[in-house]
This record gives sequence, C-alpha cells and structure tokens, in this order.
Amino acid sequence: MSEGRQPSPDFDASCYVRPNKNWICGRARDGCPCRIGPSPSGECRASAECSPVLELKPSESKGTWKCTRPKDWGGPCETGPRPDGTCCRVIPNCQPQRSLRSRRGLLTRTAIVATAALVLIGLGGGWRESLLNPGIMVAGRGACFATRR
Amino acid sequence: MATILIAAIWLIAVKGGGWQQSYPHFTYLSGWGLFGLMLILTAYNGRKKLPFIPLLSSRLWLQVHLYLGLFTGVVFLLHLRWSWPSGWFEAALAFLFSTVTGSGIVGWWLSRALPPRLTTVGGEVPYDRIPEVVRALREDAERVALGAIPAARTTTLSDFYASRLAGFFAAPANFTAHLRGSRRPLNRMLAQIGEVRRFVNSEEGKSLDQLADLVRSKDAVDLQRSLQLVLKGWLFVHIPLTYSLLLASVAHIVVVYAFSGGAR
Repeated sequence: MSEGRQPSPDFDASCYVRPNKNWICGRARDGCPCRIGPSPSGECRASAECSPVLELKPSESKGTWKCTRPKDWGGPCETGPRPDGTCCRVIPNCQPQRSLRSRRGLLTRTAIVATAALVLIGLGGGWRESLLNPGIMVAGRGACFATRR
Repeated sequence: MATILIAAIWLIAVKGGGWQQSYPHFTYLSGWGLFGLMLILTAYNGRKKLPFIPLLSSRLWLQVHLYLGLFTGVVFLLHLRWSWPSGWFEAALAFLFSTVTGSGIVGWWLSRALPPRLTTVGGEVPYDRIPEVVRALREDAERVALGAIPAARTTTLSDFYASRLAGFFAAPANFTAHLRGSRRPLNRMLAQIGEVRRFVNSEEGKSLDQLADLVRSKDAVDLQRSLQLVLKGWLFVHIPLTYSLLLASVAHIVVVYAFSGGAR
C-alpha cells in the first residue's frame, strides 16, 4: 500500500464513484446524484433519503423512529421520520443515464453489428463482383502468378 | 523496446522487397502476421477488463501495445506492397486500418501532452465528480452575489452576476479555448469584474474578490473537464473501429482464400 498516491485523509471510501458502472443517476449531470444510484440494469432505485430505524427502549412499547441519513448527506433531518416509520424526504424518480464507458461499449457493439451487416450485404448482394474486384494488379502481386506460369 | 522497433523497421525496409521477390507467398505470410499482431494489440483491451488476473503489469502491456502498434503499421505497408489498394473492399479495409492506427497515434500523443497540463493547473477532479463540483461553485457564487445585497443595500453585484456570470457558472464553458490552452475567456471575465469594481462600495468589493476567486476555480474545473473529455473521447474512435477492422479482416481472409485457387 506504500506505492502510488494515497487518498486524502478526508476521503470517504463509501462515496467512491466507480467509473466502471454502466449507469449513473439521472441527476448526476446537475451535480446532485442520489446516494444509492441506479440498479445494474439501469432502473432508478431512489425512494427516500434514509430508511428510519425503530428505537425501542426497555420501558417503551411503541418505540421511536430515528432518521438514519448519513452525516455526509446532512445527517439526521430536522423533521424526522413519519409516524408510520417512513422517511419524510421522498426522492422523485429519475431517468438514469449511461456512463461514458457504457456508451463506448454500446458504440463498439453497434460498430461490430454494422460492420458484419455491411460485409454480409456486400458479399451477398448484387455488388459482390465490383466490391471484391481487387482492381488493377500491381507489379509486385503479379510476381506471385508469374512464378506459377 | 524503441531500439528493437527501429531495428525491425529497418530490416523490413531493407529486406522487405527482396522477401517479396524471393517468396511468392510472402503476401500470405505478411497477412497472417498482420492479423496475429492485430489480435495481440486487441488483447490489450481485454487485459484492461480483467485487471484481477496476473497477466504482467498494465504499464508493460501499454508499452508493448504502443511499440507493437507502430511495428504493425510497417507490416501493413509491407503487406500492401507500399501502395494503396484499388479495390473497393481492400481500400475500405486499408482505410479502417489507417484510421485505427492514426487514432492510436493521436491518443498516444494526447495521453502524453494533456496530463502535464492537468497537473499544472492543480485541483485535480475525477471526471465523474465534475458536475458536483460545478454545482457547489455555482451555489457558492449565488450565495456571495445575493449575500452582498443586505450589507451594501444595492443590487449592483447581483445584477452583474445575473447578467454576466450566471451563464458561466450554470454549465461547463469554453471547451475549445481550454483545448487550445487559451486564457482569453478567463481574462475577459476577470476584466469585466475589474470594470464593475469601480461601481461598488467596499463591502461589495470583498464579495467581488470572492466572486473572482470562484470564477478562477470554475475555469480550472472547466479545463479539467475539457482535457479529460478529450482523453476519454479518442477511445470512442479507436476501440469501435478496432473491432470493425478485425471483423473486416476475417472477411478479407475468407475472400482471399476463396479466390486464390489459381495462385496456389
């Protein structure tokens, strides 16, 4: 671990942005992506800013719901959870976007399919003769046949 | 590695013509060699996708990829017998190869020329986090511009922000200027801040200094975005066309063997 640059002391490993993810939050372009991010298949998973937990003290029967919003996202909110235990700060769904790496992969797959289609159309269509005609034979290539005569 | 490359190129340049004359099937040999080299070069992309497998260091792979890529270019010229093909399919294949090699050379140059500029400007930001940094800078700038109103009892600074700076802070800006290394847009904006300084009082002057600092920070982030986008962007040409080239090469091999009855 002594090799290379070390992360800064205030670096939070839990917030690490992984560039190999295929999908990024739709709000990332506006600079406010949600904490959970999209699913691997590109569906928005945002529901609320936290999942409140029920704190039950020994003398209590009902308990109290406690906000669990992380510190780097502002810590526990002022309003706190609803009486039914749901978070009061609901995140509207977004349309996740492909990451740059995923777009490149998509472009690569498109290029492969387009090339295969062009080759098949070229070799199977009416232009086959003109497409495959190697043109005027250069002197060097002619030597290949000349030796056989 | 550079010495080996130069020696190999020299050998091909000097002896290549003789080999072609001596061995009638040399074109087949050079073609298969070329295809093998292309497969090895493409394997570098696969190596990057499997970082957990101990297949030598990525740095060594990159070095081999670069030098082997240049050598492949020479083998390609030898295979073409130093002349551009006149057939449609062969010309398309040659164009694909040239574009892949050219984009690779451009990418090599970019990855050598741009990173020093990124580190010189400081404030290195991962590309994926740039929107968050831009947003934070915009919120800071808006807070400074609005915060000056109650203290100064005028809207000079906020009006100036709304008319001149809001668009700059709203989104990435000056892409081409950053690529050229031009500081003209930043200097123009700082000059505008200097002009408005004559119309503000001392309270607003402090806020104006903060705005100028934020403008410099935003300009640095824009520079990071522009250069990092180019560093990632050239691969959008190089990688897709590499796979197209491989596929077209397979078709070329099939066609060559299908029509080579008279030559064998």
